[in-house]
Amino acid sequence: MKEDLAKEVRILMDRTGLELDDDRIHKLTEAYEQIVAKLKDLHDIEVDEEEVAGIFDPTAYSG
Amino acid sequence: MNSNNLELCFLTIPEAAKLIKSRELSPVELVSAFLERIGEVDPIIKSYITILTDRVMEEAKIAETEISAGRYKGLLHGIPLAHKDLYDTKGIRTTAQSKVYENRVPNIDSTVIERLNRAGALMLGKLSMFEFAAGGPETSIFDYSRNPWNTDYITGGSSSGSAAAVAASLCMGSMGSDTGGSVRGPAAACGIVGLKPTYGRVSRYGVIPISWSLDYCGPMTWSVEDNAVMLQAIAGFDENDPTTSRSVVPNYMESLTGDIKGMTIGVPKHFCFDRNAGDMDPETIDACEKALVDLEALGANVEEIHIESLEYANIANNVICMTEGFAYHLAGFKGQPENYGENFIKHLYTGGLYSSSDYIQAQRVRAKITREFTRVLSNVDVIVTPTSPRPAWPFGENPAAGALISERSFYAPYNQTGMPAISVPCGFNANGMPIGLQFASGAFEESTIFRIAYAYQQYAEWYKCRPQI
Repeated sequence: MKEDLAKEVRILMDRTGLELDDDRIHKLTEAYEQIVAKLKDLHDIEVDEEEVAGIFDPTAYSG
Repeated sequence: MNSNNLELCFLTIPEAAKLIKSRELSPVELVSAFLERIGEVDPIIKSYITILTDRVMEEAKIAETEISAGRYKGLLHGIPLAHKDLYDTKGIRTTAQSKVYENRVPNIDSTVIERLNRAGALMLGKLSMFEFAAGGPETSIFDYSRNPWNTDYITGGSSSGSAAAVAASLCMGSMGSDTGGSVRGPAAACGIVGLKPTYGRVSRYGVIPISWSLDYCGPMTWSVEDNAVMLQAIAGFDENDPTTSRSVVPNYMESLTGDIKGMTIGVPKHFCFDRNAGDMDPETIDACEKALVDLEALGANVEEIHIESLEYANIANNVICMTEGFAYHLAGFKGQPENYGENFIKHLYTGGLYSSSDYIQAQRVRAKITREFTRVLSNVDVIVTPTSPRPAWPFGENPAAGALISERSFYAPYNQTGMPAISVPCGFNANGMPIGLQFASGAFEESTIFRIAYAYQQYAEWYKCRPQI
């Protein structure tokens, strides 16, 4: 299980372009274990019809 | 330090302003007193990264000349402040307490600094913080601040130097920043007042970001009235920050009446006063329950309320904060990873682990939280909670990477909803460490929270207790 998580962490971080050594991947995997458990809780929250809060102002990019 | 100079450092901003306006006190005299105290005390507290001795004395002389010539600018004219080293200051090194920005000298002032300058405030220097406003007290450069109430204890973060400097009377006020409690947490830990304003009330232009949608600039001060004075100077629309609001800025000092008769206070006891929760400190609950009794004595109506979304505000906050922070720092992580501190890296790298569906879900949860808080605040004037689940702890107990997402947070709902929240002191634990009480209200209701915070401050009088340092 932990090996699978470590592989997943490696793929995710490689995707960002960061080239991390095994020690850093190991540390991140420990954090990832806690995060994955909480993310299930996050996705279990019923958000009904809520939209993403955000603004886009095309005039902000003119200068 | 002689007692007269020490008394000057203990003045509130309105008290000092009155003396300055009437020319009974010179800005030069006031700045000299602070520089003397910084020289004596800051080697222990370690709140300053940069002390602008010559520059601030020049500023003080100019202010003195202006005031003598009848050109008094208002309550901040001649008042010595110092700011978190996250605010760009033209010609003055701004490091974010990171080796990454060790030699960075901005060529602009952030809008907040520019407005404080325009109001006549003086700048004693730049203050310590958690690296890039995240991570833990240990950073890749400079020392970390010590809590003036006990120097073996943390100040809280990330506005650590701001809280420590205000608590130790090393400046009369400071700008901090708050992405998940970084103004309110250290304010509570150090026994001072810290405000996170409404999103869009204060410009973020020229302030190094960690999370564009969750960052707030907030004043940290000894008293509520000091806080109101600072917010008055910095609030309002800024064309350089498209997220700032054009809504009218009220006169905040007018809200400091001391009268809260008939005000309705909502208390979510199920989450914030839960004595069965392992991460809730009983002494914190005791102090905050006593504060509720005080508020009732002042004429407020205290009602128990239920806010389901308190349970998951922190998860959503962490996903958004770490994802946005990772995006901002990715180029730096690739180019100079060796210049980031371990505490910062171990937390921020987790931002690379979240997917787009995690981020979108967190934003939708944020909308749901905002809807629920808006509904609750249609029935009560303010929501009261402890600021933090527990007071400051000794150095060496830093949270592990990934643990932040699981913590009970009373700060995060207001970073999520954009609503204003303020921390004021409400007592001490058995170790003599301060405890904070948080008041929050609806968007752009800073006047409401200043009103209740001031009434409570004047009644409880915790502001009269100073750290012995």
